[in-house]
Amino acid sequence: MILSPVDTSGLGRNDVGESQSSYPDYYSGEGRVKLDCKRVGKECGNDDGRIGQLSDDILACILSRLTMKEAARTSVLSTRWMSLWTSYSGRLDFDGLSRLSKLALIQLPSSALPTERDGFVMWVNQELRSYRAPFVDELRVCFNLTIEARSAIDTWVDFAIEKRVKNLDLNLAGNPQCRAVFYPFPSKLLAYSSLRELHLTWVDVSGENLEAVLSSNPSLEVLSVTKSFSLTRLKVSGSSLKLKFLQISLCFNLKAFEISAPNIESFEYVGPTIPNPFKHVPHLQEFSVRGEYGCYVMEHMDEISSSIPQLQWFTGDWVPPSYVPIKAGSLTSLKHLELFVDFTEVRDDLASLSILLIALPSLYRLVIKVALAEQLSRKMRELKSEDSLGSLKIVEVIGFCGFVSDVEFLLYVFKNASGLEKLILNPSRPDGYSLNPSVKLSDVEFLLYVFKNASGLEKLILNPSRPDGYSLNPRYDKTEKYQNARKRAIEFGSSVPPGVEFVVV
Amino acid sequence: MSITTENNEKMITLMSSDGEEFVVEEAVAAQSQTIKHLIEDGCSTEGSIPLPNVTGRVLSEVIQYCKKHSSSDDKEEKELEAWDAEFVKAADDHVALTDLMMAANFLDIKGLLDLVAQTLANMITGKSPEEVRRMWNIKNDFTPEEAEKVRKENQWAFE
Repeated sequence: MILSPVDTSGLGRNDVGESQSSYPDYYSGEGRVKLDCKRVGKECGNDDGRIGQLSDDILACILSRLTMKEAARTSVLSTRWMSLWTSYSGRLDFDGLSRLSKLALIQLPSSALPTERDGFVMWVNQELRSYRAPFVDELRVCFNLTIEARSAIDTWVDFAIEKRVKNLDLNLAGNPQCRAVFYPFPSKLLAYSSLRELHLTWVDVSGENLEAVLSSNPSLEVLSVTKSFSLTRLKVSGSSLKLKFLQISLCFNLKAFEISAPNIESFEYVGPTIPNPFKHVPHLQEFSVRGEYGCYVMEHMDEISSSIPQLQWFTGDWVPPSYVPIKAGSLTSLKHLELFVDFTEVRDDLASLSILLIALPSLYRLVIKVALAEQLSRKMRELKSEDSLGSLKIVEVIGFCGFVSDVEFLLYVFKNASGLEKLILNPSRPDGYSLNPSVKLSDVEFLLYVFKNASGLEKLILNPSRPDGYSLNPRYDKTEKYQNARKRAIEFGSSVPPGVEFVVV
Repeated sequence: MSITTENNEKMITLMSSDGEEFVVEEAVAAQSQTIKHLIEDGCSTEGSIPLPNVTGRVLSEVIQYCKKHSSSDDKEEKELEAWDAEFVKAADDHVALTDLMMAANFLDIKGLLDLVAQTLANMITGKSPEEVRRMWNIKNDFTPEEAEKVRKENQWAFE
């Protein structure tokens, strides 16, 4: 079966009657290409190899395994392939933000944003109109859009419902500078029940909306909400919830949150302080908390750990709490601890951190993401001989500065982690933290110390790029600072004792 | 013709387009929804099930796949993945994969269809249009003007 490659459905691009001359090239469409009718179906495909013998349906099934971009690129292969990709049923990913951020680097004038926005809306409208696949797995729209684009976004949501999408991702990336009114949660989604994943960013969604989504979509497994100012109270509760992953980020008006979900495995939270939200989460394994709430969690570790004793993975900011009320052995399952530490904020000592560390009898991997460090000493609590970090096997330091403060912390770890097998030092800046121009490398001294004291060391990996979650500069790896750090890391190879595997990333 | 083995497994006979006969356990063959429906409709009680769209060479590969996947349970998922990877590697080139794809589609074996579709898709990833045409013998039958237009229309995909 060979379908005509000409879109005769009337849903092509020709019906968008507006002038497009002012839009950037990549959005411009001058109507779907029409071919000489005599050629269509007569010659098309006849000269193709074995692949050409596959039906359009099967080829569309293959294309649907590609990214949308890759699939669209096949349109230039031949007349037969020209519109095959419009039957693509994979992940429709309309990401206009990456282009926008590229433009921003060359200083996009603010007046250009509306044009870009119109161009983006038109692009999505046109592509969606020409889609022929009866079902689509996933729709993602990512651009700076506000309530002004409401009618267009509404039609995209209609499309998602009509095509029975399983994953819907609306990332409307509001511009923090403009006091825009955000796109309101599309209530028609409540009449839909096939969602497996829902991601909403800069969508004005309330707790009631989310609770309704959860009850009307019994198979929802992933829910993430970022920057909704209407989210003030949320109660995720239900014995039949399939929800496995929940993320709530930067919803600054959230005051009350409670979660009781039998299947939840992972919870990520960034935002204002809320009391211990965990009611019944028997399968929660990962808990990630960033920002000031991290401090609250530490100070209430006792209470929180008794709600989630099975926790295996914790990520958080080390905002030095006044004390850590944790009894040794309350988080007995915790294997992986990842902490963002700003050593310059840790004024007096790191005693509370050492209390946390020794309360984790199963700790296997410790990742320290260094925001900043300085040439000042921090006291760690001396460990009694019976308290040791005996189960710790892997230590990774991302954003390693090599200042007294971070070096000393590691020395402490090394002194007490007798079973350590692997050390990974990565001097690149963690995402979200700006470069500190005064950073100098005293890493070398630290490493020499490590070799002297960690006799069981087997592998050393030096990675000069900045860790995820820290760098403001996406091109850090192009900078001289990075190149120099990398050069020093390689030079350091001559000091590594024999028997230790040495890797520079 | 259905026969029963010592293990009390019901056996059925499949006949390829070129007349080759394969005797397989019914449970193995029933991974193909097409065959399963034929059996349910009583097509297997007399003689063998004819599969006019699949050659003996391809059918033997398909049966190999179905055998492996009917004898494994979830615990062996990793091992099965490795086996699948070897299986499509052994198919060697896009011609053999295309034959498998057609057979998986006709026989309606979802797992095999997914596996082969992904393998063929992986072949395109990262390749320029010209490289894809060469690899798959696709003739560029656009006029220069058409080619330019199609390219422009999908310019976003080339950025």
